[in-house]
Amino acid sequence: MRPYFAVIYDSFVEAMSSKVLWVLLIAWTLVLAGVAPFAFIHDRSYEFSTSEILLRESMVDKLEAAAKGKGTKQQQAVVAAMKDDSREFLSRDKKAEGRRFSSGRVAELLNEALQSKTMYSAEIWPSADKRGETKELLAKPIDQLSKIDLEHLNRRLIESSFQGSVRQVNENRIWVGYAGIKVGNSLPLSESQSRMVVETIVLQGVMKIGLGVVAMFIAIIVTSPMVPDMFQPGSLHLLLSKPISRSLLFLSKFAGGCIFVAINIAYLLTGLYLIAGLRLNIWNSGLLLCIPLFVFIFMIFYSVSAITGLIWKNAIVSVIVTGIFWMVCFTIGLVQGIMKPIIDTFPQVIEIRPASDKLFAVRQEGALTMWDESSKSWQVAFDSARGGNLKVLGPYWFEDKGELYYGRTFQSPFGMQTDDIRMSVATLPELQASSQKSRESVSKNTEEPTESEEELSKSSDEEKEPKSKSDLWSDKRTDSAPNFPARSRRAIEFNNTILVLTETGLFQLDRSRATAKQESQGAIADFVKDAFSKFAPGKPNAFKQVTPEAWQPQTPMDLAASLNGEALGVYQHGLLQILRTDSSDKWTSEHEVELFEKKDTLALVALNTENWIVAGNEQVPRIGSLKDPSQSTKLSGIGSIIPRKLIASPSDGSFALLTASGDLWLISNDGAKVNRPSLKGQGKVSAIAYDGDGKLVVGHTINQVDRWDLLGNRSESLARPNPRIVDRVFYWIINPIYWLNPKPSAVDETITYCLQREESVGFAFDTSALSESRTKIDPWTPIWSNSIFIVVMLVVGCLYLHRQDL
Amino acid sequence: MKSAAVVEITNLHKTYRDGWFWGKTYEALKGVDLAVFGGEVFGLLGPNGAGKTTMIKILLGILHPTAGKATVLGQPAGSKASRSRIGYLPENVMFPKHHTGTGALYFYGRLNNVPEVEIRRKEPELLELVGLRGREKEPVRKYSKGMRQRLGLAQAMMHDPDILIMDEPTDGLDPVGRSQIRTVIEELRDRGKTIFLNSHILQEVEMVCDRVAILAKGLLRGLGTTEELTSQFRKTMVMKVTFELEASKECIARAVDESGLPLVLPENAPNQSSLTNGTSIDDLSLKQSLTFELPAQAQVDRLVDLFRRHGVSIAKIEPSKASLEDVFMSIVESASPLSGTEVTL
Repeated sequence: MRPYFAVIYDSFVEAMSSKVLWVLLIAWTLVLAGVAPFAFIHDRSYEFSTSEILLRESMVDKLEAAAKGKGTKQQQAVVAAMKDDSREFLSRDKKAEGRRFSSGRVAELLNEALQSKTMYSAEIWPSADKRGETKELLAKPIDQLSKIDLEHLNRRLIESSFQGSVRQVNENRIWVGYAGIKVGNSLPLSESQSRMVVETIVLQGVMKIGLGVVAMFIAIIVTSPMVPDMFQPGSLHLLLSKPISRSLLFLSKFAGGCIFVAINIAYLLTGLYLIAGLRLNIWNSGLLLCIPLFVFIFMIFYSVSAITGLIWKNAIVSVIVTGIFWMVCFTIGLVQGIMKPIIDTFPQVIEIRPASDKLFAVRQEGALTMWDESSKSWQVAFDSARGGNLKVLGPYWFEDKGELYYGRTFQSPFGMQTDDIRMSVATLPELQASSQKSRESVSKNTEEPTESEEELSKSSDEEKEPKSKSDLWSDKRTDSAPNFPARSRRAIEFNNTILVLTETGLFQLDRSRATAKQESQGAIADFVKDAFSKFAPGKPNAFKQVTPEAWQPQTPMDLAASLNGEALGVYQHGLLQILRTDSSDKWTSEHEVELFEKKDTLALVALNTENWIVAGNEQVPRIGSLKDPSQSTKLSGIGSIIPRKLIASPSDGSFALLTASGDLWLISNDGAKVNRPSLKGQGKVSAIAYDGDGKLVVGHTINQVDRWDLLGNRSESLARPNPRIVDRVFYWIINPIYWLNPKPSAVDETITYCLQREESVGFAFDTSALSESRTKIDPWTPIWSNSIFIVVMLVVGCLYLHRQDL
Repeated sequence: MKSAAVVEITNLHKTYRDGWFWGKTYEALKGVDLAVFGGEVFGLLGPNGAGKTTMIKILLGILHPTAGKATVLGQPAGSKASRSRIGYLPENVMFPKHHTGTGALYFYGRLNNVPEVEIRRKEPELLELVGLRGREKEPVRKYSKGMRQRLGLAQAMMHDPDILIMDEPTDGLDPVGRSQIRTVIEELRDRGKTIFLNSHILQEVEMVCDRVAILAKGLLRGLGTTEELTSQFRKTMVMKVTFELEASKECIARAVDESGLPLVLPENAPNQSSLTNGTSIDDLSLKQSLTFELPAQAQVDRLVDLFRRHGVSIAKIEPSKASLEDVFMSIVESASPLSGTEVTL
């Protein structure tokens, strides 16, 4: 092998003697030097930032009222601590002046009050010197407090004065810093979340665009002459006269080009790894694993460049052909990449609400749909999505009045999403009527479920009259429904109403105030009204807070009610709290269990009548008793999972757990038995729900739905949509071309896997995001498929060179 | 006693294909039979397009023969075993630009599987031999063409090959360099190496080669030692014989007229055409040196008889000596499509 090592070593020497290499290394050094000053700056600060004003409108109202001598004494004291012109500003009638009052301005005003030494008075805050942090701070006279301690005190006073409207923050906050200088506001994220952002967005962006595109293009240009240069007369014949194989000579030259690129990539990524580690404390060894991955991507392109160099013996032709190859791969990958979410992800059912003979579902894109058996398709509901990936609450179905509630992130006409969730309500009297009939027929046949199902199906068929698509939703729609409370994280059906868990407490819907009816005014008028209705004043506040004001759960959080309705389970910030209600209809925390050391662990909670289950992200689910919540055990036989949905069966109290990988697990009511049943679509399940009879309804394989009688192990198909033309085009044309074509860009998935070490892509800071569709990462398929391509290209190159007269 | 053949070529054909769907063909070798014996310096001559380079490339495995067989040291030509025993100096040798003289010797030595220790030992010797000692640290991109040729020769000898194939080895060299190359070739021959030399410089080939093959239009037109080729040339080709005569113009003219043999006019004559019967002899002086093209010795004897019968005194008869160049030119011209005849030696 000595001759071949000699060729490889010579390629290495050639690379090291190349000026281009040194120019590139200097360029990479400059890039790294430019990036190195970035760091997280930890500081103690109590200043308000825009994102900490939770309820802007409420804050504005309270501040203006306080400036006019109304509101609480505490609020008036806060305003009094502001500058004169700020007070004068607050007392003006801004509506008359046509001026808006932004969250940033609110934060500015509150920051003025933070500096005040006169704001605190024992009369106004009588309990401040008796508890918590303020007690410690007030141990000293205010004049002797340092600036930061003064801000600390005032911040806590302001937070208590405007509870629920401003965020309570810890003293340690982080900023993005450059060369020790803070850039912008403090981050509304914890340090681990900030690191996650850097790892999942910044690093991957740098890697995929910087290295995967820019550096790769440079590498192809630089290495393209290597193979054609081999064919210089006088040089090639001398090489070929030596006792070496032509094929191995070609492969050695190929390896030489790869070594050249490997040096560059190793230098750049090792530099990034050290900077991320030393400056941001992100020691992600995936960065180092990406070195061979990027060399691998380069090998895909270089195999094309090398074989072109063999045939045409011209570096420029090599670059052009490689560029065309890149464009073809990119175009096919782009078309497939655009179509795949449209076909596979957006239509995926993520929430199901079986309602008698109707079936509602929410798609990943945020659209509420109802199954139409006559057309074998999901019909998009009122208030349908105008964009992708909106956050959704619901749907919630109340048979008593035939009302369907549904919440979705507000989206402006320009595509900007806000954190506010708009509620939509539909009253469907015909549904109500039909559901009552079908329930009656079901109750007559409880012993023979299959027959009853047949009857149900029959009765609904009989009822079904030829309907146009628009008839399905010819309801009395209600557009004046209130928004869900600010920072709503989770909402559940409870006692014929909706309970909403927010960052400021637990709220209960007063349905009578949510359904002030308004007729549709036509599609365009509805659209405009929908789009701008957020700014329309005077919506009735239909939610009533049912927890004490002081109870402000922290994210991530989740909510579940026990089957008997006596207890609520709230997971918040690593804790499980069991809430019970008293005669005053207020829910208070009765038990508290610390579950996770890592407080920002996302988790789902479910309760039956006796037990609770918490499924933490990448944790083994735990089960405990509601009577003595502090005792809990890990479920055996399931291991660490990423949970997607966790529900309790209303019939027997067993639990159904859906994981992000699409697996459905059934857990007995005491947690003793855990099994992964053999169901149709197992491994591709995206939504689960129990119907009124305790049968499990399973959404799987994108948008198919089955109902399972688990005891009888029988299933009934509820929804099997006919494939659309776009589906056929995708599966019969686009996909085959994509799979036959080499896929350099698919290695991005492997890079993502290396950096995140997760089998699916999801980016979530709150628990509601767990229910969203997660794109499964397949790190190995791109490696195998592209390896086959490289091998084929190299074999063709070797055969060509072997047969060629030179 | 003849050594064993180290290169054997039997009925070697090579046809090049070109154009769309390889529709155009060109036959570079049309069935060549050749043997090169161990320890000889073998010269390969031929005009451009004769098939010399094709033959060398087939021996080195760079080209695949269309038909026929070629072996080197008993191994199929082009096999790794045969290539490991060949040293090759290509025409206009080029080295990768990043090499120094030493770097190139190490690189090609390694390609020949020469151990590092051996390369280290031989490097100064070879550099000394080719006259590059002291310049070995310089990058080859700064080398002149002659220096590259010298380095090419050094690398070709690094693995102590049994056969050295040299394609125009003295191309670009100054006279001193040429002399050095000749010395190297002679030294190698003395050490029993076989040298296969392809050169356009016929005098050089004549000086160093033991045997010569002449290729023209893909066919072997001549093969043997220089003497064998020229003697065969004498037998088959028209001889030029110069007579120094003393007599009157009329006597000489009568004898020439009667002979009917072609006369080659001197260089300074008004025209270059042969003087034949009926030609005026006014241009000829009384004491004249006349050159005749005579196809055979009988014509020489007859001409002598005629001159004597017409009273012409013959001061000197000098047959011209045939050089390799004469043989080469004669073969090449006879092989050209214009000549219409083909000479087989």
